[in-house]
Amino acid sequence: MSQVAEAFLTGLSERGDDPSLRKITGTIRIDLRNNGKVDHWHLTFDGGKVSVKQSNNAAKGSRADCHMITDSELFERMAGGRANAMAALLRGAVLVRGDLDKLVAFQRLFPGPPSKRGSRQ
Amino acid sequence: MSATISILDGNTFVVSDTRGDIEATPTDTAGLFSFDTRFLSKWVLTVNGQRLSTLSIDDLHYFETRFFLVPGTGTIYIDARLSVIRDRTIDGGFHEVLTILNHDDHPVKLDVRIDAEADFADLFEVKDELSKKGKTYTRLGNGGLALGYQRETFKRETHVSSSEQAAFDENGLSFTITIAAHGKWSTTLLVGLTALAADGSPVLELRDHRTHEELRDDLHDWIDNAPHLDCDWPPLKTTYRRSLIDMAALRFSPLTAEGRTLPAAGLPWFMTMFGRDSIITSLQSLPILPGLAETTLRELGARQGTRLDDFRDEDPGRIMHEMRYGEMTAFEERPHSPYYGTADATPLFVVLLDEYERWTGDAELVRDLEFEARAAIAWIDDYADLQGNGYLWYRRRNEQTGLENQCWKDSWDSISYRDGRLPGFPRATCELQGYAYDAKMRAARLARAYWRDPKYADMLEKQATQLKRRFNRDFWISERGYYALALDEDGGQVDALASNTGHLLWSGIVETSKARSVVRHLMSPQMFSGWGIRTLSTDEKRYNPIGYHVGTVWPFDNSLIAWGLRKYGFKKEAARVAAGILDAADFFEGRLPEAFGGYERALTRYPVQYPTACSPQAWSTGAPLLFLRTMLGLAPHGDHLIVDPAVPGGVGHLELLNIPGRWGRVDAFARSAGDKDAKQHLRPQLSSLRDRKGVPG
Repeated sequence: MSQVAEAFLTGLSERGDDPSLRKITGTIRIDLRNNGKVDHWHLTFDGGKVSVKQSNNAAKGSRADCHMITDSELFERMAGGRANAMAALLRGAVLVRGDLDKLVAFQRLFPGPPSKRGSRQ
Repeated sequence: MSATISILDGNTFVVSDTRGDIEATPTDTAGLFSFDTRFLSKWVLTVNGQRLSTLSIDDLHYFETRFFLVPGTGTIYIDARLSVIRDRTIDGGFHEVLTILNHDDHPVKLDVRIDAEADFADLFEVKDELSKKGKTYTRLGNGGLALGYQRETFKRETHVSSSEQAAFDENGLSFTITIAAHGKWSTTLLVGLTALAADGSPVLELRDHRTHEELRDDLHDWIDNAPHLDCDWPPLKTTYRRSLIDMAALRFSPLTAEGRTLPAAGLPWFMTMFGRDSIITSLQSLPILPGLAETTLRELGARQGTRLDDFRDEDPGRIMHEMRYGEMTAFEERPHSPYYGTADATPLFVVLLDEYERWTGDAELVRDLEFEARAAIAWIDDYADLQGNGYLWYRRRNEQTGLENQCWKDSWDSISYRDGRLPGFPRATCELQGYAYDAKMRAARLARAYWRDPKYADMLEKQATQLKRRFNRDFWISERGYYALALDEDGGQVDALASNTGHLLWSGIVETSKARSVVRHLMSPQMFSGWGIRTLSTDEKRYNPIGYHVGTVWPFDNSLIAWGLRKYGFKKEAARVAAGILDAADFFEGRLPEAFGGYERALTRYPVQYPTACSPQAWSTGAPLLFLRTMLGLAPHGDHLIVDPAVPGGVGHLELLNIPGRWGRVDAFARSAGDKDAKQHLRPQLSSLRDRKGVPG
């Protein structure tokens, strides 16, 4: 499990009052595949509060409103702003089971690319 | 291909020739498309090795077409002992009921064949003539044929099957059949589409596609639920009905919308969510079809920008421009996942939210979208003020595949000085400032009424007032008496007279003392062609009556301007603009094109259509709905609907019944007071006479 991805996920519960978090209600399960192993993350969003749980197998059968499956390596790039989740979904590099709208809301929490210029110059 | 037939549901559509055959080349636009990918590039029917000829075509509904065919392609002799009927309906992919009738006294033995092929071209590849980077494959089995394409993890498949036993091979399927004397044979061909990951599992769990019956019932309900129009101007009734049906066809349901729909931009190539087009069409449709606005607001809000991303021209708070689903978007070779390069969708999002509430009283949505509306307002100040002088500017950061002009006039030469020069970037076009003003005024109302934040409301009103004052100082060309089209990067006035100045009336940023002069320009022979207000004045260097944004007349543009004319009390002028455009609609059987030529009405006598690939276009379809609002003077006021009609000359009565809104359902009536002359009931002929004589409004 990469540090970037882990920092991103655990950091969700420490964002404070982020309106983007309030836009999600329910549970998202994330399976990150890495050399035959799978890391499971279970996120619960409730009124802007997020609880984050990780496990190597216990959560395997756990149910969630939205279930996202992808490779660790790609998730790390998304968490670092170097890959776009919606594009990854279209090319089959991210799979979704359950509510797509939760994934659309969740991926907005990823940062932008590190090399961005921004509007003002 | 000379004649094409399109059918669609959502963003799945078929473009075929008049026989129902598909024979695409890499750059030809025929095919079965879904999610911006061509899932069939060949679908050709032969009987005993012969192609067929068309006897007739029934366009039953926008999602269903029936082709009546006979074998043979000779023009002189046609073998009429056999009839072939292809009844094709879109349902996720499509199903086609193929029926062959034998009219002979003897049994007939036939080889029936369908050749099928799929190139899986992305719409962008068809447009830009690009070649594929992955590999196609075919697979036989499970009683059918699978046509597939894979590039890394990106995998798409088309599945062809038949209700009757068929012999499948890698290029299609065949039937060897005998039909009894005066007998009939039929099979149902199914074409299913899937988006897969590399391991063959589906990318998404899609909801079930609507059946043929559901599509039919839905269309009937759609029309039944809309207000009923009656008037003594028959072409208007035709146009109204056409708009309702076309708007039904233009509905698009994003995968996150649980079946709710919003207006896509145009059929078939723009059947996707657009910020600007979906918002403006929703605004136009509010009095008639208010449900579209709700989905538009929710879905655009769910995709509002949250970060800086130069490739997608994304900023926090920015409302998206365009969403695409094809391979090039999937591999980040195009920025449409979604792309955010539009400067007007963000303020217009707030305008729509407020206008939607005024009509529907849906306080819940206003509360749900408080954060999005505030973020949109913040975008105007924090990210769009590129010059730091209080105006809304645009300049793309994606210089390869981003859009240069991020206002509705998005062609390269649309923003010019009177002498034809083009300004540099960034640009601040005038209508954007109007939208920003309106967005702040409307957000202030919502903040007070729903968000319990009167301080924020005060601040917004103060900012809006300052913007209006500043705008009337910096954009007003006093020696000419109208507003500059834009400010250039040095703050200088881009001084061409363009229709953009008309949008300012709608936004309310025009000082009352300046309104009359603006209206005089809009209704002058240089701007008003008799059919409508041109995008650019005939006096400007770049004026061209068939130039996309530099002289043509756009129905949607005129519908917003007419709304603005009413707002400033210019009722007659608003009615005159409405009459011109609606008269033109009659020449297109009620379906207004995206744009038509800026030729003088008295010169051509009929409107010259601008050739475009998409028809119907959403905001042209919405234009008659907004004109109905302006002619009837419909305005929500609290829980009541105000009706203050001003109908064009020649219209005796006009009534719109069952207008939905926070008042329940109400009726609006208009009767012309003075005109008792029977000849007055003769639009559009009358209006052209009047215009030729130069009789004003």
